[in-house]
Amino acid sequence: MVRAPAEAEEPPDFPELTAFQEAAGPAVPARERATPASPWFPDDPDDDTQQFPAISAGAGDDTNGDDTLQFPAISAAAGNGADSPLRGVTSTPPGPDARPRATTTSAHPEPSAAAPAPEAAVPRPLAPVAMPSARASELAPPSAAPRSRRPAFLDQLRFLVLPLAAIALYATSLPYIHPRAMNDFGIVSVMPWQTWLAFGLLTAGFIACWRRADQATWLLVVHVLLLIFMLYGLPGLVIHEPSGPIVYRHTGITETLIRTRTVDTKIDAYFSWPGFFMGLATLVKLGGAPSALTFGTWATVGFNLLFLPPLLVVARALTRDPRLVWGSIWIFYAANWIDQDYLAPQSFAYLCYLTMLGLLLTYLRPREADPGSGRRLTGRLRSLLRVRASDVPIPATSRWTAAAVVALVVLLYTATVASHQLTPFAILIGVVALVAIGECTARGLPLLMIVILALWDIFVAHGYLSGHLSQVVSGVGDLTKATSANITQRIGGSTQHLVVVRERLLLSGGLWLLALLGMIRRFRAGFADHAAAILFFGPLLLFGLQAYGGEMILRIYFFMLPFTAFFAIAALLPGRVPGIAALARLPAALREGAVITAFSLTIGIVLAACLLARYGNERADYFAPGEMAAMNALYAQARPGSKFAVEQSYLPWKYEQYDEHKYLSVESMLSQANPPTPAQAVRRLSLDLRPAPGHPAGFVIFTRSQRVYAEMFGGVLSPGYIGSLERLLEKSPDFALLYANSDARIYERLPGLSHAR
Amino acid sequence: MHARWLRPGIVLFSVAALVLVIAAGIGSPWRTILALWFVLICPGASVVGILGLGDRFVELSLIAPVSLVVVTLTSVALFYGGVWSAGAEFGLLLGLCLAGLVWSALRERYDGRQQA
Repeated sequence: MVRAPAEAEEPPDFPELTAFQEAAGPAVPARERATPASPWFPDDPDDDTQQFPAISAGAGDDTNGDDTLQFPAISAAAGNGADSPLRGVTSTPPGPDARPRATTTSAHPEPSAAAPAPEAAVPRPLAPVAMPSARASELAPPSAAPRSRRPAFLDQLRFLVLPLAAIALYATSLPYIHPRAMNDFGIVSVMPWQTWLAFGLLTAGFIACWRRADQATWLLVVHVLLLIFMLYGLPGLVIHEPSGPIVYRHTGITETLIRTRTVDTKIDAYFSWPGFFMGLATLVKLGGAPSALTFGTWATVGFNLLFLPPLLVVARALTRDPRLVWGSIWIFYAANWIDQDYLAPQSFAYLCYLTMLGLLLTYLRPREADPGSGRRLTGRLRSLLRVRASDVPIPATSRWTAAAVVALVVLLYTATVASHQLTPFAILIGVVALVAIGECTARGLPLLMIVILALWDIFVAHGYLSGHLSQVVSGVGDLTKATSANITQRIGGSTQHLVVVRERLLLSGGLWLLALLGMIRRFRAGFADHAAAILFFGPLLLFGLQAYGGEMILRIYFFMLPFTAFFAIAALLPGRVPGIAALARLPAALREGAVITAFSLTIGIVLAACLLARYGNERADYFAPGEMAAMNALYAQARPGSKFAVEQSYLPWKYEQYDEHKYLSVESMLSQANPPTPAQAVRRLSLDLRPAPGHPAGFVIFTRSQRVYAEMFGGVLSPGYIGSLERLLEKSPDFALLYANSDARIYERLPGLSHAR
Repeated sequence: MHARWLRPGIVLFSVAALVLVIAAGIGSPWRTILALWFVLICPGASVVGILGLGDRFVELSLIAPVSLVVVTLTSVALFYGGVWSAGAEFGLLLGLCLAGLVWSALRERYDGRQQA
C-alpha cells in the first residue's frame, strides 16, 4: 500500500500566526523534531535516507523494514540497480563520507525507457522521494509529530525574556547617547555598553529561536521586528531629526510639486523621475502634514518594515528550510549598512524590486525543468548551466493568475521607472537573466520592460536626458572610471573615517566571499539555486554602466543583498550540505555546537560591523538644532530668487522654496580648473551674490556639519581653507552677519560693489 | 467577521475614518496616521483579491507595495494631466478601491461557483 505523506494533517498551534508560519515554509520533518537536543543532526548526519526510509531500503540499508512495507514498489525497484527510479540517488551505503547528492546528471530520475521498471504503476506521490536527498530534504512534507511534543505557547514565552531585556536595556541606554560628542567613528563612539549589550541580547535571543525555527516562527518575527526598530530607529531616537541633507532636499521637491502642481523638468533631474515625490505629495496633503519631513525621521524604519514581507516571499521561493529563510532575513537587515533606505525614491524602487522578484520567483518559474526544453537558446543555456527545476514546489496557477501576476509586475515596473533612474536597470538585468536561463516563463517581459523604459525616457525624461546625454553615456563600459569613483576615491578622509571605510570594504567583501562559499556548497549538494545565483551576480553588470556619482558599488551591494544573505547563511548550515569530513565524524552535540558557534559569530560580527559601517558618517549626517534654527530663520527672511552659497552642500537646506532659489557652493568652484584661493573665493561670492534690481540679496551659510564634513571626508575643501574663508568673509565689508548661533552663521550680501572692485 | 469580509471591512472602515477625520477638521497626528494607513493599505487590500494568488501570505505581502504603486501611478497621471489635487487624488483612490472590492467580490463568487 502506498501511503501519501501526512501533509496538512496537523493544525497549526497558533492559528493567528498561520500567515507567518506559512512564510517560513513547512515545519521540518519529524526526524528533526524527534531530536530536540540536536535539531539538525540525526545520529548520522549524512544519512538523509532516514528521512525517506524507502530510499534506505532501496540503497541497501535494510534497517527500515517497516518502511519497505509502506513503499513496496520503490523497495522492489531499488533492487533493480541502475535502471531503478532511484538512480538519481546515491547508491552507496550511508556513512560518514557519504554525500547526499545525485550521482547522475539527471534531475528527474524517470524510469529508463530501455529498461522499464516494474514500478511503472507507482503513483505520483512517490515522485519526491526519488530525488537527490539533499533536495528532498527541503521538499519533505511537515510531519505529523504528536502535538504534545511541541512546546506549548506558554513554554515559548520564555524566549521573549532576552528580546524584552534587550529592548528595556536599549531604551535605558538612549539618554546616554550624545550625538554632539561623536567622533569620526559615528554613533558607535558614543554608544554606552548598555546599547551594545542590548544588541547582544537580541542576537542571543534570535539564535535561541533560530535553533527552533520550525517551531516558533512568531518569535523570529518578534526578533526581526525588534532588530529593525533598534538598528534603523537609532538615529531617529537619538537625533529626532532626519540625518543627512538628502531627505531635506526630497522634502523640498515634494513641497515644490504641491505648491506648483506642475512638473518643471528644467529644475533638475529629480523632476524627470518624479513618481515617488508625487505619491509623497499625495500623502502629505491627505495627511495634513506640514511637510514631508514629518515622515523623514522614521521613513527608514518604515521602509525596512515594508521590505520584510517581500523578502520573506523571495526567501520562501528559494528554500523551505526555515533556518535558511530566517537566517538570511536576519543577515539582510544586519548587513544593510549602505543607508539607501531613507525617504527617497530608491527605497520605494527597492520595495518594488523585491516585490517583483518575489512574484517572479514564486509564480512565474517553470514547473518542468527539462534541460532541453524551452526555446533553443534558453534550452542550450539551461543545458550548459545544468539548470533544473526549483527545489521549492511552484504553486499551480491558472492562466488568469499568471496574466494578473505579469500585469502586476508591469505596474510595479512602471512605478519604478517613473520614480528612479537606476533601479529599473537592475530589475531589467535580473528579469533578462531569469528569462535567459528559463527561470521565468514570461518571456516577453524583458521586451515589455524595455519599451516602458524607452517610452519614459523619450517622452517624459527627454528634458533632462537631451541636455545630459553625453554625461549619462560617457561612463558606459569605462571600468577604470567606475573603479576610481566607486572605490579609490572613497578611500580617504580622517584616520578614523579611513578605519570605517576599510571596515565597510571588509564587511562587504567578507559577506560576498561567504556567499560564494555557500553557493558552491549548495550547488555541490544538488540544490537548484540557479535563479538565486543569477540574481546574485546580475547586479554586478551595473558596475560598467555608470559611476553613478561614486555610489554604484553601494547600489550593487544593496541589489545583491537578499541573495548574498541567502548564500551566506547556506554556507553555515550543516548536515545536508557536504562539509568537512572531519567535522562529520564529530559527535552530534559537538557538531551542533560548532554550527551554532559559527552562526552566532557570523551574525554577531556582521551586526557589530554594521553599526560601525552604517552609522560611521553620522557625525556629519547629524544636524544640530542650531543648524535647523538658522535655516528656518533664513527661509523666513529670503525672498524668491535669492542665492544661497555654502562651503559644501552638506547641510539641512532646500526643504522649502526648492525651485525659488539659486544654490552655489565653494566646493564646486574648487572642482573647476584654476581653483581660487580663499580671498578669490570671497571675491567670487561677493560678485555672485550681489543684489541687483529684480534680484534680492544673496546669503552665505556656514554650519557645523559643513566643517565636520571637510574634516571627515577631506576632498578639495580642507578645514584650513574653510577657516580662512570664514575669517575673510567676516572681515569683508560686502557682507553683514544676519544670524548666528553656536552651530551656524549666516551672512547677507550687502548692496554695493566695494570688495568686488 | 467572516474572512471574506475582512478586507472589504478594513478598507471601508479606514476610508470612513479618514473621511470623518478630514470632515471634522482633526489635524495631525491622527489625520496623518490615518492617511498613512489608507495610502499603505487600502488600494492594495482592495485589489489583491482579484489576482487569485491562492496564498494568503503572498497576498498580505503585496498589499503595501501595490497600494504605494497605485498611489504613485494615479498621482503621476493626475500631475501630468494637470489636474492633481489632494481631493482629486483621494476621489480617484476611493473609486479604485470601490472598483477593486466589487471586482474581488465578483471573482470570489465566480471561483465559488467554479468550485461548486
